[in-house]
Amino acid sequence: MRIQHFLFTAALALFTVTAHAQLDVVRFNIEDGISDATLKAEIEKSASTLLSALNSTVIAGKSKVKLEKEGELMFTKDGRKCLDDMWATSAMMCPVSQVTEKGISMQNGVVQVRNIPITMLAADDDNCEQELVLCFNQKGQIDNIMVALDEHRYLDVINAQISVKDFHRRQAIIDFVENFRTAYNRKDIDYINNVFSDNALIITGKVVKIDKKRQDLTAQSLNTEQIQYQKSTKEEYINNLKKCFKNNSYINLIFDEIEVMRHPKRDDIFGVTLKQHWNSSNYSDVGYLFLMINFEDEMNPSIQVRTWQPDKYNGKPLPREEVFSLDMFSI
Amino acid sequence: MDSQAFETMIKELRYIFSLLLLVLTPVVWSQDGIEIKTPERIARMVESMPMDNVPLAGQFQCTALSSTIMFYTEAKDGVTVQLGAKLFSQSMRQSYDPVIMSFVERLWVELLLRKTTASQASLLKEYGVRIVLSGYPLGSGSFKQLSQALDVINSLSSVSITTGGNEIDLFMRDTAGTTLHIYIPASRDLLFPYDKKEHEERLILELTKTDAKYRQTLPETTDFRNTANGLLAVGGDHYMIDSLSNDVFYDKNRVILYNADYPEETMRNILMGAAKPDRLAGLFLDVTPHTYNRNIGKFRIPLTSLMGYIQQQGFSLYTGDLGRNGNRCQCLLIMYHPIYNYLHMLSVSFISGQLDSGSEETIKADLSTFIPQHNIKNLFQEK
Repeated sequence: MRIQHFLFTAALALFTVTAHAQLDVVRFNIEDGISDATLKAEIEKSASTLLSALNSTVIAGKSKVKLEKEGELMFTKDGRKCLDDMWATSAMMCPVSQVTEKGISMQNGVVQVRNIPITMLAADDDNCEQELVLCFNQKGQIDNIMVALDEHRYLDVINAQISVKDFHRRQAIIDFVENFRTAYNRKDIDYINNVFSDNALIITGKVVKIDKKRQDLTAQSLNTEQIQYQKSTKEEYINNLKKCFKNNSYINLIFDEIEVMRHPKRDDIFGVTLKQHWNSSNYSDVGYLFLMINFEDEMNPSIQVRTWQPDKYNGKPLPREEVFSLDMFSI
Repeated sequence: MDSQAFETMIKELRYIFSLLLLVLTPVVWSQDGIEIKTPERIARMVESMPMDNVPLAGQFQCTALSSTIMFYTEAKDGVTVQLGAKLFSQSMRQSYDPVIMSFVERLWVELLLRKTTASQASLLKEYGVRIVLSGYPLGSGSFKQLSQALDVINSLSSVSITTGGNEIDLFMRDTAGTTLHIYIPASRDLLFPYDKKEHEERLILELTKTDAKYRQTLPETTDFRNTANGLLAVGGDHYMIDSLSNDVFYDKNRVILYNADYPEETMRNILMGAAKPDRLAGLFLDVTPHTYNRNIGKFRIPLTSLMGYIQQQGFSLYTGDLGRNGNRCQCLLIMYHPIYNYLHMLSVSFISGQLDSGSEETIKADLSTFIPQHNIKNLFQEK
C-alpha cells in the first residue's frame, strides 16, 4: 500500500516535471578509470538502460522492471536476479538525468561503479535517498547491484521482509561463531577439530615484500607488499594450531564487525566475514576471517572453508572487495 | 591374614565400592556434564599475583602490587569467581551496576600486574577500554600514571554510568573537579569473569535449581491496535526485525488472551509474562540446551519457574512466530540484555491442545544462550 502510494506520488511528480522532456531517460557516462573504449561504451549503455528502465517502470507504476530484448542482454543472469530481488524490496528511481562517475577495476576484469544516486520509494523520508553500486563483467553486462548504505539503514528498509525463522537461524550462526572463538581462547583443540569438516579448505594470507628487481618501474613506485595465499589441509592446520597453543600461555581472540550471508541457493550454507583481533603471549595481529559454515546438521554445524587475510598491506586497509566472501566459492 | 579373611575383606570392599558408586552416580548425573571450576581468567590472575596464598574469598594486601590498595576475592559455589582491587565501597557497587564495578576492579588488578604504563595502555587497547583523565587517555598528555586515576576515585564527588549502546561510560568527578571516564565495550565476554562455556554452565545449573515464581506482567500502556486476525495488541517495540516484538495480545473485549484457538498469540503472551500463572500450572518445558559444552543434557523445568527466573534478570523480552511444522506451533522468545549486549533464545514447539488440556503437558524447547550482539555489523548481509 505504501509502495503504491509512493509510486503514484513519484509518477505524478515525474510527469509534472517531464511535460516537455523524457526525464525518465538517464544518461550515464564513465569519466575515468576504464581504458578499454569498447568496454567503457558497453558499461555506459548498460547503466543508462538500467537507470532509464527504473524510472520508466516507476512512471508506469509496474510491479516489475521489464526490458526490451536488447536491454535484457545487458544483464547477466545473476545481475537480473539482483535487480528483481531489490525491486521486490523497494521500487526505485534515479532522480537525475545525467550521471558521471569513474569506473573502478576490480579482480578478474570486473568493473564497479559507485555513487549512483537513487531514491528508494519504500523507505521513509530519512532513508529514501541512497546510492547504488553496479558491478559489470568483462563484457560490460550488469552482474551485481547493491545499495551502498550503512547496514543499519539498509536494515530499516528491508527488515519487514525478514522472517523470525531466518532471524533465529542467523542468531544460531552468531552463537556458533562465538563458540568457535571461545574454543581458541580455551585452547580447546578437540572442539576446533570437531567443527572443521574433514575436507575443509583452509587458506591463509601472508603479507610478503615484493622483489623490486622483478618489478617494472610503475609498480615499484606504488606497491612494496603483496598478499600470498597458502592452502592447507585440516590436519596441517590443526597441527600448527597445537604448536601455537603450546607456545602461548595466553590467547585472547576478539571478533568484530561480523557479517552473516546466506547462500543464494542453499538455505543451510552461510558465509560469515569478520574482523579478527588475535592477541596472545607471543604475537598479535588483526585480519579478516571468513568462514563458510554448513548448517545441514543444526546440532553439529561444520566449517567447510576458513580463510584469513591481513587487514592491511602497502600501508592501506585491505579493500573490502578483496575480502573473501561467500560468493567467491562455488559449492 | 588367612585366605578366608582376605576373601571376606574383598567382598566387603566390593560392597562398600558398590554403595559408593550408587551414592556418587546420581551426583554425577545431576551435574549433567557440568563441573564448576574457578573461571580460567580468574585462575590466571590468581596465578600471576606476586604472592602466595591468595584467599578463596576475602580481603588481603599485596604490597608488591600496591601499598595503598586493598585487594579482595569473592567465591561462589565453593570456587573463587572474582579477584579485584577494592576501589569502590560495597554500597556503591550495589547502587551502580555490580557487574560493571566488579569489572573495573578486576581490570585494575590486571593493570597493576603490568609493570609499565605502555604495557598497561597495550592491555587497554586489547580490551578496547579507554581510561581518560581530564581528557587524556592513559599514557598521553598529563595522564602519565594509573595512580593519577586512583586519586580521583579516592575523592569522588559524583559518579554516573551511561549504558544502552555498544559502549559503557563510567564517569567520575572528584571534589577538585577532575574528571575520569572509563569507556568499556558493552561486551558480556569482557564484563563478566566467565567465558561463554563457564557462563552457560552456571546458567544451566541455576535453571535446574530455580524455583522462581512467574509474575503476570502487563504492559503499562493500553494503546491497543488491531491485528490481522482480529485480535488486539499492545506493545509495538521490535528487536532487529518487524516480526519480533514485545506485543501482548488481547481479545476483542480487551481481556488478556489465553485461547487455544490462537495458540501462537497465547504462547507469545505466556512467554512475555502476560498470562495468569494459574493457567500455566501443568505446563513443563523439556529443554535442549545448545551450549558450548555438548555434554550438557536435556532438562525438564516447570514453565513458570523458567519464566520466573527470566523475569528476574533484567531482560527486554521479544517474541515471534516461527511458523508451523505440521500440527506443531513454534514460537521464539528473545531475551535481550540491554546493558551487557547479549541475548538468549528459547524456541518452543507445541500442539495447541497442550495449552488448555487441564493435565500435565510437556512442551519441547531449545535454548541457546549468551549470544553476543555488540560485534554484529550485519546479520542480514546480502550479495
